[in-house]
Amino acid sequence: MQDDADPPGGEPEGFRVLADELKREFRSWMSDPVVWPAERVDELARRTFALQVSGNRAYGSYCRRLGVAPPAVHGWRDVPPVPTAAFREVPLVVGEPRDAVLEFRTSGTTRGSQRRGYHLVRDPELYRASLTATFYRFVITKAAGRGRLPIASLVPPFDQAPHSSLSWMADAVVERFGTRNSECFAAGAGVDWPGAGRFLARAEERGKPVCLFGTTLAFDEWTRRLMETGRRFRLPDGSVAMDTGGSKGRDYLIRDEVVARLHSCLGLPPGNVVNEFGMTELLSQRYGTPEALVAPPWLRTRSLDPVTLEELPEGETGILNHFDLANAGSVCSVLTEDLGSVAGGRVRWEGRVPGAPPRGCSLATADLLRSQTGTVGEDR
Amino acid sequence: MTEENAEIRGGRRSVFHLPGLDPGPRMSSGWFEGATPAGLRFRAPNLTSEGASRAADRVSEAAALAQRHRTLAQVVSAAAEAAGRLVDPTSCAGSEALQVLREELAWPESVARETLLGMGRIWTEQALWEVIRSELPDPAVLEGFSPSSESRARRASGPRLLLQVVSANVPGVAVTGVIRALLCRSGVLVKLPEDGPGLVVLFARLLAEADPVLGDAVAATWWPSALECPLWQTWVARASRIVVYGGKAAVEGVRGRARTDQDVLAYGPKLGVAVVLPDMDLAPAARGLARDICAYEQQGCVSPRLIFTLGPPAELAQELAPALSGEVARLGLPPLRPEEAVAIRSLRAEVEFRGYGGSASRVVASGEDLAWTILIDDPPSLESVSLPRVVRLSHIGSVEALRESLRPLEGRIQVLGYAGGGGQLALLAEAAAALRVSRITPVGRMAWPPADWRHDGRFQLLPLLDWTEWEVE
Repeated sequence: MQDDADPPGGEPEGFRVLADELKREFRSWMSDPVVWPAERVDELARRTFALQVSGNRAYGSYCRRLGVAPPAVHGWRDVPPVPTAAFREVPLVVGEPRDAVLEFRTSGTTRGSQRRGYHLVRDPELYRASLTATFYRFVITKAAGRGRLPIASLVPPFDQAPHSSLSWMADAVVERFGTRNSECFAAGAGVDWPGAGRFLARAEERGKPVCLFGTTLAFDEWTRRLMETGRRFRLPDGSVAMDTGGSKGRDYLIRDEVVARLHSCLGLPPGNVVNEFGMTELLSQRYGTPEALVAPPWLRTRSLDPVTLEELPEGETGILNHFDLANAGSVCSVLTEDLGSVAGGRVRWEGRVPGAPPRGCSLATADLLRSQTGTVGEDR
Repeated sequence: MTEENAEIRGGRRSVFHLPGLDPGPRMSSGWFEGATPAGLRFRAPNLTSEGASRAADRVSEAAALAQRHRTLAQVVSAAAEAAGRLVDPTSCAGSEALQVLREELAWPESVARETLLGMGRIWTEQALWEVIRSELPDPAVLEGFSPSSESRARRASGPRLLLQVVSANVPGVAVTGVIRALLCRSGVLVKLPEDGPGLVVLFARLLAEADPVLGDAVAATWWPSALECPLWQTWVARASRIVVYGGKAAVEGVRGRARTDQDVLAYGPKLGVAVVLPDMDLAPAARGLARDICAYEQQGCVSPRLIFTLGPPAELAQELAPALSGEVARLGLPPLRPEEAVAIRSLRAEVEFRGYGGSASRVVASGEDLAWTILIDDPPSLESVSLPRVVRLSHIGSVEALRESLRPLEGRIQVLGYAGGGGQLALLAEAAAALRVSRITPVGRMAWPPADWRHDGRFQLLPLLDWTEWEVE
């Protein structure tokens, strides 16, 4: 499947124009969240695909092996999706990998894989434009005032986690929407829980809405601690929290229970606890609840039959295929190993596809070899 | 007889063989319900302590009766007769066996038929005598004291009750295990595998028809492994020896329950490896490999997962691809489970994109039906996966290099298949022995070991036997 006709490197012609156009579109949607006509998404899909198939060396080879060229792509559904496994193997970036500004790495925690995936980002401003627009629309607008507000982040800052797309996002969110009273309470592997408690107390005193930003796991720990100590807060009306990340293999973590504890410990109504669904391989995010995640118009999702890869009807569970125009600098169409369904543009996320159980008495040596060599893992 | 009574005697979806056990609240308390990976739902009675104990008593008594009133030849004959009916596709029992495999595993009939025929070859009377004689030059020791010299005599005794736990394997291995126990004159309690419980139940029923006493010396049922229940407690406590066929979790689960003085003999998962040596006509080698890969849906530790070639991998893949297509066309293709499809695509993507990154790794595969996959690895990979018809193919420089490369898998390789060889075969055999491979064989025969094969590198009967020496005054 190796293709000798690899495209030349460098920034492909047209990338800058397209990226700038997308940024304008994202910012425009932030202030005026209109529905994009399907034709508009498909037109942008055709242009990004043409750019990626010619400018992303590995993806171009893949598409040529599949026999899919730009004339065959009429809309986003026709764009060949790249399985997330590919991100572990090769730089998937438009142009030269050395021109990438950021390198985000996947956690490797869910599968315990030896190799972590990485997503090279050649235009961080495209990421920023997408994430700020969606964070504003799906989180900030829930807060009273809709302006800047104090943000408490439980995610390490990017300078301490230089390959974490979530940390980069947290920094960008605080920079764009936070007041001077915003604080990050995560450092290294731990969280300054007393400091976070003082943030809540100050918020109570001031009576102005605040935003809490963290992983579901961090909120779980925080609220368990508060339950143990009996300490309770009542955050001002209009306060919001954004939680993200799955259970990372922790069976005990049940998000509904975390949301209920955020209500009982902090006074946050469940409707103001917004779940974010993001992946290192995607530069746009979905928001809502795991049962109904909504997205900006440039992020489309469909559910595919896991065996045939045919698109499933609305509401049927399959594996999720995301198409994200914010990924213009890498690959837009990503085939995940997540189970879910799509109905009315909302995604119901149902967790990772379980690993295939061993059949018969045939030994899968991967685990054996890993136990001999050790493994690594780091959060998104 | 009530409907429940009929169920207790065994039915297609009620998978148990509990001879002489009358139903009722004292003996059982409802049902355990399970499902095979192919989705066939089945049930087995949740025996009370008294029920589990009564079943063990019955088996133990029947085994003692058989000791007194059946010769070894009669045991061999009855076991071979039952097994012969099981694998005879023209008989009612053979049709039922085919149906069991098709329903439990969603296998095409041709795969099920070939599996039964292959297993049947090691269950014939002649094959069973080969096993006995290869381990016990004087089979009379299984019937009583037999003189070993002028002043001494020996007797070999199997455990009165042997517990056989089968959690994952190819179909038929549980039957082989039961036959081994019977040859050792033991009674056997079988914990059935969830992924294919029916075949051994059918065999036990046929055995009871061939010889009711021997049929009573076998009890088989299923219960959820993770559940603490009277069956676990009673049968483990009653068994004087335990044999486990399964993965690490199954083995550890049994060891955790066993008494410290109880022998636990474990047959864990292993791996098939094949090597194509120089000066070999690749087409027949590829056809043999394809047969071995597709046998038992590649679920067995005797099917190759890793293939090495001393020549260019691409050339071998070029021959192996049509051979696999041909074999799949001949045998048919069972449905893939969703998680298997996702895992195969993920693997294909990994290797394909690695190739785009500059290595010589590449994928040669069937299309989106995911029927078969050859992953050409550069550098070589030892990461086998338990997915249907997926093999890793690598170049290796020499037999010595192969031995070094496989060293991390020492003790884990069940069979090493070879094609070609000439002067290098002896070297390969020595390498296999150093790696504690239990068997080396030409490709095309990997999946069908001979009856007297040293399974996992061990004797089949001797590990079950205790010896008594009688020194005559």
